Order: sequence, then structure tokens, then C-alpha cells
Amino acid sequence: MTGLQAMRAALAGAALCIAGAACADVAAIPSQNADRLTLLDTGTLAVIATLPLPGKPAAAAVDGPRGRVLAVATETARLHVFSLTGQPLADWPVAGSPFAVAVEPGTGMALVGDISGTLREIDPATGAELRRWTTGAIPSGIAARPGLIAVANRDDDSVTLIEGERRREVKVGRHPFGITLRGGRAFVTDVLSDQVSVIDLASAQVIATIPTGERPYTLAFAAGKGFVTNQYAASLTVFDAETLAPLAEIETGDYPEGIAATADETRILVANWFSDSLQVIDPETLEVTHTLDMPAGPRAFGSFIGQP
Amino acid sequence: MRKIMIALAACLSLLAGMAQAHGPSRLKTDQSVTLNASPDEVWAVIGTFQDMGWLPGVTGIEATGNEKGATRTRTMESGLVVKEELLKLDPAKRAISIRLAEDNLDYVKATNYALHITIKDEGGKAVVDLKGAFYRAFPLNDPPADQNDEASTAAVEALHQSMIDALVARFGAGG
Repeated sequence: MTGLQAMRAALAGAALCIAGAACADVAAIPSQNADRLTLLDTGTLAVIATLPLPGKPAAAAVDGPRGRVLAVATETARLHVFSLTGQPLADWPVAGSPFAVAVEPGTGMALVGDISGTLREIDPATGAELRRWTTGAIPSGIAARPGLIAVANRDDDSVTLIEGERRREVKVGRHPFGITLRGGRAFVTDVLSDQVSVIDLASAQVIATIPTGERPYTLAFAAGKGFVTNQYAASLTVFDAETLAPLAEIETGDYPEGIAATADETRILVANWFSDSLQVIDPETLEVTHTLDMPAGPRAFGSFIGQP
Repeated sequence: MRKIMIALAACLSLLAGMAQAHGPSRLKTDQSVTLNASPDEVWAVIGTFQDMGWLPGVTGIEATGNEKGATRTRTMESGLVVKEELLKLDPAKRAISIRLAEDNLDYVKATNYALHITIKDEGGKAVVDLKGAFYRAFPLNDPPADQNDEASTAAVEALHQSMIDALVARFGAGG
């Protein structure tokens, strides 16, 4: 790193760090009805930026280490790239009907789900499509770690696991939508079955199902627990991440959708599409600690929190 | 004729499938009214899936039950038949949520329509909140003017206003 680069990095970091404290994470919340993207400091809960994002965005992913926010505008079929302070960096056209986005954490490449049945790997710096895979019908949630991509195929009731050239399909419940990886397992919300399917990644088998409230949408983990948003029930189902036993139900705003945890797992953030709010939950006490107003229709579908 | 109808139905279901693939965004409405009655009095009238006599024009209801997942067939004076599913019934919160089991553009010009009614207590008076969540009537891109986001939102708001009017006629406006 040159001296200039180091100074730039320090300046960029300064905006997000409180003196003497660790850098806070950044949350990126797309509001679909309002065509806005809100960037939030998850430590102070201060709004960093409210950005215009036309084209009915629903999904976002934050790449903390590379300082990038990715968001997909569905109607305009574009992948938008912002800095963690809200500077627009790029805005690329994407083929097909893009909806969801995830970051491949090893490479920083964007994985964009095209609901006409394709997963595309796109370089956020150039907009170039590097690879593509055929998925099942209506690919929805995407989760990735180095060497593994998992896609929930909503209308095929299946999950596709992609590892290099190896590809496996796993049958799950009805209309799988959100998907999250944890250890040797993938957890997927089966929206029309009111359950979470737990997939063992080694055997590519469903090893358990966890009952949820009505219309489970997405899920996240913190403090040894899983948290599932139940759209119609206006609640979170909480379960033990190891034993998978249901632990509690937490009341939220209406139509809770996207959910993610901070890197230190001290906070869970939930976007309530109907209530136009973002709620902060303490994963230890299971209390709602804050409720923040959001531009209309926050969805925050994806891994929308990242640590710089 | 019958064959034409079947072909038409097949086309429509294909359109519905494609619609999902190009997904317009979900829309919402939110209307509320304060009534000159207690929350319990109002809940006693609207807090069941097996009766909707409070809404003028309902001539018959056949419901499979009063639990989540129950379905009902509601017949309207006009001859319209509305098929619905109970999503949620929570007497403690005085909340009832119902979705159209089949889209019915003659009933409301919207698709995937769901209605969430909650009654809150404000100084002893019932505040009834009606929330709609739905997609526009026309599922593909470039909707005709009477089936776009604005028209569908207006249609849902008009339907909910008719419900509010019925409740005001019954209980009187309060507050």
C-alpha cells in the first residue's frame, strides 16, 4: 500500500469508526416501493446515506472487506455498486430478470440470480459476466462461501449446491426462498410449508425441518440462535442453532422480510416491508431494542450487513 | 366454445406463470377508522371467518372452519363468488388476515391480494386498521391503464373504504 492509499483507507475508515471503538458494520437496506437505498451504521444506528435507487430494488449485499455495497434494481435490470459511504461507483446492466445478489467472499465477485433460471457471476468493478449456471425455476435466495454457492429454487422446491464442477440438487419444502449457510449446513425457508429445511452439506440431504410461523421468508444467525422472519405472522421464530429446537417467537412489525446479524453477533436487524421500519433485536435478551423508520417498502433481501 | 375456453385458461395460466418471472413489486394500502364502539364490540362482529354479514352485499358464506388454513366461499348479491383462505385469527390481538385463494378481478382489480384487519384500543374506542398487500392486476410489463400499480391500488382502497363505510354505518364514527 502506498502512503496515499493508506491515507485514503484511513479517511474512508474514519467515517465509520468511533474513536476508541471498533469500526461499526454497515447495513444496506433497499426500499422497494420508495426506490431508495438506506446505508446505516449498525453501531450508532445513524443513517450514513439515503440514496435514490430507481427500479424497485429488493436485494442487497454488503462486501465489507472490499468496501462495496451491491444492490439489484429489478425493473431496470441493473446491478448498482456503491461505496460504504454511499458514493455511486458503478451501475451495470444485467441480462435477464435479475432479483437477488450475494458476494462470493473469497473473490468479491457478485452472484446475481436471474429469475428466468440463471445464476450469473459478475465482476462489480467491470460489469463483465464471468460465469453463468442454469438453476431451477425462479432462483431466489443465494448464499456463498469460498468454493460453495447455494441457490434456493423457489418454484422447483429445491436447492442447488454448486462446488466447482460439482453440482447437486436437494429437494426441500414448498417455495424455498431465503437461504443461509452455517457450518456444515444450509438453512432454507420453505415459504409455503411454514418451515425451515436444514440441509447437511456433506450428504446433500435434508436432515431436519424446523416449524416456523406463517410464510417464513429469510433467516440469520447470532449468539448460537437462528432467527427466521415470518411475513404473515409478523414475528421471528427463534431456534437453537445446534439442537434446532424452537426457543421463542418475537413480535415484529408487519411483513418482516430481510434479516441479518452484525459481525460481532450482538445485533439482529429486520426490515419490515409493510411497517416501513427496521427493527434491532438483541439476540441474547430477544428484545426489540430499536425501531427505525425507513423509506416505503424496505425488503433488504440478502446478506445486507458487512464489516469494513 | 368449450375448447376455446380451455385454451384461453391455459394461456392465462401461462401468463400468470410468466408474470412471476418478471415480478412486478408488491403493493400496499393502509386505511383506518375510529368507531363509536369498544374494540370488543367490533371484534365480536368482524373477528370470525365464518360470518361476514357485516359487509353489505354478502348473501352467503360457506367456511370449512375458523382456524388458520380454513377456506370459505363467499357469495355476493351480484352473483360474484369469492374464494378466500384464513391466514391468521388472533383474538388476543384482535387481528384477522385473509387472502383471496383465487384472484378475482371482478371483486378487486389486484392479484395475490391479502387483507389484514386489526383493532386497536384508543381511549376505549375501536380503531380499525385495514391493510392490503397485493400485486397489480396485470402481471406482465407494460400494464393497461386500468390494471397498473395506481389503478390496482385505487381498487383495493375503494374495496377497503366500502368496508369502513359498512362499519361506520353499523357502529357510528367515533373520535
